[in-house]
This record gives sequence, C-alpha cells and structure tokens, in this order.
Amino acid sequence: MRIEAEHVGYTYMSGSPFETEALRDVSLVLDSGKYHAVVGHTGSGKSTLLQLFNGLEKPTEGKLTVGDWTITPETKQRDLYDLRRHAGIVFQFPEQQLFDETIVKDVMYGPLNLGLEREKAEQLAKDTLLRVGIGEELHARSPFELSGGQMRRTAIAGVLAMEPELLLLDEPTAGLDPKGQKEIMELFYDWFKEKPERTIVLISHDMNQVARYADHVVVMADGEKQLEKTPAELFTDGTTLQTYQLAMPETVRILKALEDASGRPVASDAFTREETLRRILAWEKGERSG
Amino acid sequence: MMDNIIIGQYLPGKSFVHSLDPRAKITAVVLFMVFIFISRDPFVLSMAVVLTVAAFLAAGIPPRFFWKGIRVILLIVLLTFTLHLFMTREGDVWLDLGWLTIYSGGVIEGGLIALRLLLLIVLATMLTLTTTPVDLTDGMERLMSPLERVRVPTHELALMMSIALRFIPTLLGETQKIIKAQTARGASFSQGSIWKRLNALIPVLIPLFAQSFKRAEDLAIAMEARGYAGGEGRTKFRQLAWRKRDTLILVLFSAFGAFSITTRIL
Amino acid sequence: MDPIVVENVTFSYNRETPVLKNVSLRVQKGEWAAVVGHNGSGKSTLAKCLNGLLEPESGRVLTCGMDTMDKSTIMTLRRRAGMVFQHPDNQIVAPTVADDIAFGLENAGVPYEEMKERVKESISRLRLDGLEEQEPHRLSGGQKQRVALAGIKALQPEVIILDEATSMLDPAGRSEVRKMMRELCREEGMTIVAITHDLEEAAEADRLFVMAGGKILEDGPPAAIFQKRELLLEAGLALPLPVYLAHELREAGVAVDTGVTSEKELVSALCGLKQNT
Repeated sequence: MRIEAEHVGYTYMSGSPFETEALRDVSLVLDSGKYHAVVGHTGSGKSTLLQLFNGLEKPTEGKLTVGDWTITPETKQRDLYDLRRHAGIVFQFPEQQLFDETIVKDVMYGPLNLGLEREKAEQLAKDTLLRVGIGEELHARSPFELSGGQMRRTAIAGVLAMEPELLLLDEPTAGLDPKGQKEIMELFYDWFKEKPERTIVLISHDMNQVARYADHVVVMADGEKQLEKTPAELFTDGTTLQTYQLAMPETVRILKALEDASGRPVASDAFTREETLRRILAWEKGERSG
Repeated sequence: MMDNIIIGQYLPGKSFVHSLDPRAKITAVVLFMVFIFISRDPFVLSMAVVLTVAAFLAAGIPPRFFWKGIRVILLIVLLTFTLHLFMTREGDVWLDLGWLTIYSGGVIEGGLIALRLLLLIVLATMLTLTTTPVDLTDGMERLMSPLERVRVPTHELALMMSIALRFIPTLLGETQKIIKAQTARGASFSQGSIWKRLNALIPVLIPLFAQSFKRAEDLAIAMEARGYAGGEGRTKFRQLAWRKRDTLILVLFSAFGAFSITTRIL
Repeated sequence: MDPIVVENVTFSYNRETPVLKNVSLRVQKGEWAAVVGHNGSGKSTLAKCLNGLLEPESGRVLTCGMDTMDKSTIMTLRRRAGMVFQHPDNQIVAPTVADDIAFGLENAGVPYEEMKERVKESISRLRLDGLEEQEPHRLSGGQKQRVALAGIKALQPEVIILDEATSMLDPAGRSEVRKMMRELCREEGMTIVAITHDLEEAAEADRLFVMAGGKILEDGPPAAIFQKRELLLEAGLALPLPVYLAHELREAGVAVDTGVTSEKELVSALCGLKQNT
C-alpha cells in the first residue's frame, strides 16, 4: 500500500495552554511493497506520524493519501474505519491490549469487528497463532497465563489476523531479550515477503535492526523530516549519523575500523553477520595477494 | 469539557495565597464553609463576599482563566437558584402566572443559597489553584493527625491519596493508548446502541485493570525493597513552615466565624 | 567479608519445579558483577533473593553480612542493598522527583535536616538538577531509572542490585543509566550486581555469572567468558559480533587468536596477520 504525505502537520491540544506541535510540514512518499523505517529521537514525531498512517489520528494540516484513502483535517472518523482493516498497527508493548478469556478469542476480536463469521474468524485466529509460534496446546488458555514473549506474539497475531496489507510497527521488540527480538523481527520479515503488495513501516531505536531489514529510511527530528536514504547510504555515512545522533550498526563499525586500521578500502555496507564475514574474508584475500 | 473545569487544578505562582501554609488554607476554607451556612445576617454575608474577593485578588489568578474555568460551575449555581425559586412557597406572592407562582421567600431563599454556594466554590477553587497536590495531601494528613488516637489510619490515608495523585496521569495515558490499540483492531466506541457501546468498553477496561493489578503488585514490592514498613518511626521530607501570615489568616477567618455565630445567637 | 554471599540456594514458586537449583556465588566489595541469561533462566529470581524479597527454600543468602531470613535485620539489610527494578513506572511512589528520592530516607527515619542535604546531594550526583519538582509521568525512561538510583544512592548503600533495569529503555536511556552505574561503582566504590540480557552492558562488568535453567554455568571476567562460544550458546545468549566473526574466520582458515572478544581486538588481530606472514 502506497503512502503519500503532502505538507502534513499535527498539533496536539490545539488552542489550549498545553498546545504542542508534533509534526511540521512533512512531505514524503512511501512506496508500496517496500520495507520502510522511520528513525529519530524520542519526541521527534515519529510515533505520531505512524498513527496518521492508519487514521488513528488525523493530520491538523495538509493531506495524506494511504492506498485508496485520502485523509485531511476535515475527514470524518467513520470514513477511516475501512482503512483500519487494511492497515494494522503493532504498538510498543502490544501485550498490554490483551483482554479476552482465551488466546484464540482475543485474536478473533479484530476479525469479528471487521464482520467476519465466527467460524472463519476462529480458523483465521488459529492459523495466525500457529504462524507466530503459539502452539495449539495454548490456544484455550488465558492470555494472562502466558510468558512475556508469548503474550507479545499473541498480540501480534491479533493484528496479523486482520490480514492487513500495510503493517505499522512501533518499537515492536522493546523489552525483549536478543533472541526474542530476532525471532519477532524474522516473523515480520517472513510475512512481508509473502506477497508483493505487503508494506511495512517500522519505528525502531535499534539501528542494527533498521539496517538489516529496511529498504528505505526516513530520518525525523523535532517534528520535521530531515532526510530519506537507503540504509547503504545512511549507515555508512558517519557524519550524517552523528548529526542526528544515530548509532552506527555494529557490522559497519567493525568494517570501517578495519578499513581505517589497514588503510585498504573495505565495502562497509554489510548489515548481517554473514555478509560482514564475507567482506572480511574478501578483505583478507586481497590483503594476502596484495 | 473537562479542560474547562478548574476546581482541583493547580496553577503555579508566587502570590501571597500561594505562600500560605496548606494547613492555614484548609482550615480557613473549612471555617468559612461552616460559618457561611450558619448565618443569614446581611452584614455577615457581605463580609464573606469581601473576604472571597480579597482572597481572589491576593491569589493573583488571571481573571480570564478563572472566568473560563468557572462558567460551567455557574450553571450549577443558577440551577440551584431556579429550583429554590420554584419550590419555596413562603412570603408574599410576587408573580403569579397561573402555572407558576413565585413567592418572595423563594427569591430570598434561592439567592441566599446561590450566593453561599458561589462563595464557597470560589474559595475552594482558590485553595486548589494555589496549593500543590502534594502540599494539600500533606496539610490534610497533619490536620487529621489527632484522629490517630481514635485509630483513624491517617498516614495510610494520606499515602493512598498521594499514590493516587501520582498515578492518575499515568493511568490516563494508558487508557488512551489501549483505546487506540483497540480502535486499530476495528473497535468502535461511538456507534450502535448504548448496550453495544458499553460492551465495546470491555476490551479497554480489562487490560486497564490487569495492568493496574500488576502495577500495584510491583509497587508493593518496590516499597518493601525501599524499606517501607508503615507510618511508625517515619520522618517527613515535606516540612510545613507555619509563619505569622498563617496565624493572621486564621485569626481573620476565626473572627469572621465568631461574628457569624454572634449574629445567630443574638 | 564479601557483601554478597549466596550458598547452595534452592528456590521454587510452587514447591515443585525449582527456579534456582543449588546456586552459590560471591561478589566482592566494589566489584561490578553481571548476571546474564535468557528469559526464564532464574536470574531475576536470584536478584529478589539477594535482598530478602524472596526467601530461599534451602541454603542461605548473606547480604552485607546479614542473613536475608533474619527478620530483625531485614530493614537494615534493604537499606544497605538497594534495588532498581525493570519497569521504570512501577517503582516511583511519590508525586514529585524530590519526594520520591526522599522516600527511603523517610522510611529509615532520617532527621529532616540531614535528609534535605542527602536528597540534594543525590540529585546532583545523578544529574537530575532542575527536575526536583517534576512529576514522574513527565520524565523519560532513563530519567525515571536515574530517579530510582538517586533514591537508593541517598541511603548510602554498600550494594546496588539492578534487576534488568535497562531492558525497557531506548539506547539513549540505556547509556544514561549505564554511565551512572559506572560512576557509582568506579568512583564511589559501590558494589553492583546487574541482572541483564544485554551483553554489551555485561562486557563492562568485572565479572560475569552465566545462568541457565536455574543454575550458574560459569563465572569469570567477561573476556574469558566471551571466548567460550559453546557456553554462551548453551545459555541461549547471542554471541557478541566480534566473537562470532573470530570463530567463523578461524573456521575459514584465517588465523585469528581465540582470545579475541572485542571489536578492537578483532581489528588488530586481522591487521597483525600481515606482519606475521
């Protein structure tokens, strides 16, 4: 699903003494079928931007096009109801939204709200739970009996079961241990690759994650879009990273250090462990022959 | 709508009223409340008006801000007046429309009640506008402390109130987040019958309760780890400093009280 | 005597499946110890045993020389060994920063004048100046955890236990808190026991305890532990990138020393190859 923002602005509690401008004149295009990431510091406006994309908030200025929907400050909430079935959002700590008696029922909540028949919804819920790694033996349990990691997966299943085309992820792995983080990120990536029209917008503080998964990165600061780049451009550019106080992925850091220490050029745009290893081996080969 | 009610809000400032000890302010408001309802003497009531206006001026509250915040409350005062106007059947008939008779007693009674209510609300608002919630709780705890002898758990009550104050904003933020998350899952809180709307709240309330229980548990453990073991032997970080101006205010309001009692007895 | 002594501790929540199995460990004065393990390894349970929030079924825990089962000294013990919890929001009790920092001092019955001094000192030590009257919900995660640390610091403890205190923070918050841990340990000589799954944080410790399945598999300096690839895999921990690379390079026939555990070491090992050949 394609997203286009034209001069979008958003102001909280407009007209009160607590008025705050969260977004200012943001224009961008996020192509359909791509994995996008929005990065920036806490308070840069990235979470607000994400909530505009599925109509949870409406822009107070400008115009937003998400798939076939157009959202302006005048758009009525009920016209956005339909958009939400196509654009799912996983909030930070999504396990905090679990409520139903059993895990299956909880996952069915979204599909049922969309008007699906009970039987179909149940089948969908069960399939989705299996896909996120929640086995059948757990389906009839209460979500509150699960471990933290399992609760997170159940909540994610609740969003995926709505069969969205666009998935908005707000820090989906916060608070998990490294193993859990990797599993969840792989889960989203597998989902993403299944169909060509599937689109992801990820918010993350973890630049290793962003570099590893995203095709396109938007950098935000103080409610404004600063720049858009590919991970290869952004994460090998030390100066730009420093300007926006973004961390350099550890893979790039090692390759750059190697280049500096050896004085021989190393292609540093590697974002997986395996790729980093290949680059070092290639460097080593050159080192021996040179 | 909620933004327009200022009772209970705190407005930071450095005015004379801000600088008073919360104990003095609370006691003054309580004295005022008791005595204004004792007396019907016009002189006492005009004194009450003077006191209230003086308090307002000394608190340095921007009149516009105050007016905006008190409008909704004025409606309640007006409603009280109207009720009394229609319900009281004493004194001379001033107006007779057949379906509606207004007696002189109604006007006087309604006016009196409305005036008392208005003065009280304004003064109580002055109290909360110029006192931080922490000071307010603290002041109440100190004032209630004699009740400890009759086994009223004043320390626990005050602690509960202060923890509640601490977590209200957190809870509001959480509610908003859960509403958003369920809305994103297709929930609708503004469509359908009342029953349907109430039902739609369940997916919001249950997570909220679940989280609050977890929070209460965590908080209890954290308090235990930080050495909390009840009020005994505890010292206080918040020190209240009673100054001359506090005594002065108390004398002023007591004098008003004494005068109002005199008018009642004589 | 060592400030933390755990001897043969077994613990279970339901009296059936033990979460801690015969755990023993010692942490020396002024040492920064990190307990690492994946979720469910028992590391958080161990932390709660250290200040008597949980009592061992068998074995004993001596913290700052006091038995955690001894009811008569438990309050003193908790003052000597403060604890920062995982969830930043669920440990701040009072409606303002200064009041919260004072909470432990109030409980300890510290006289007002001294309390005022100590709160002030703690605030500037944890760089919270200007936030004294701030309400907790307006603070960032990193600031909240620093408030928790300040509350503990004010009690002038011997030991600070951090139970996954950085796991819910963003990278900026994490480095704020880690910096404070470093200062409290290295400059003020406090003993730190940090429960964590962040190996980058653990790398800063003097000593690592690797936990899995309720047992301590191994302990030692981070560099020594990081060399034990099999051990880390067994404990379900992600290998630090330099360790992974060094191992794979060796497998591919590149002669990288087995002692390589950091980025720097890896780079200089690689650059040193040329001179050797």
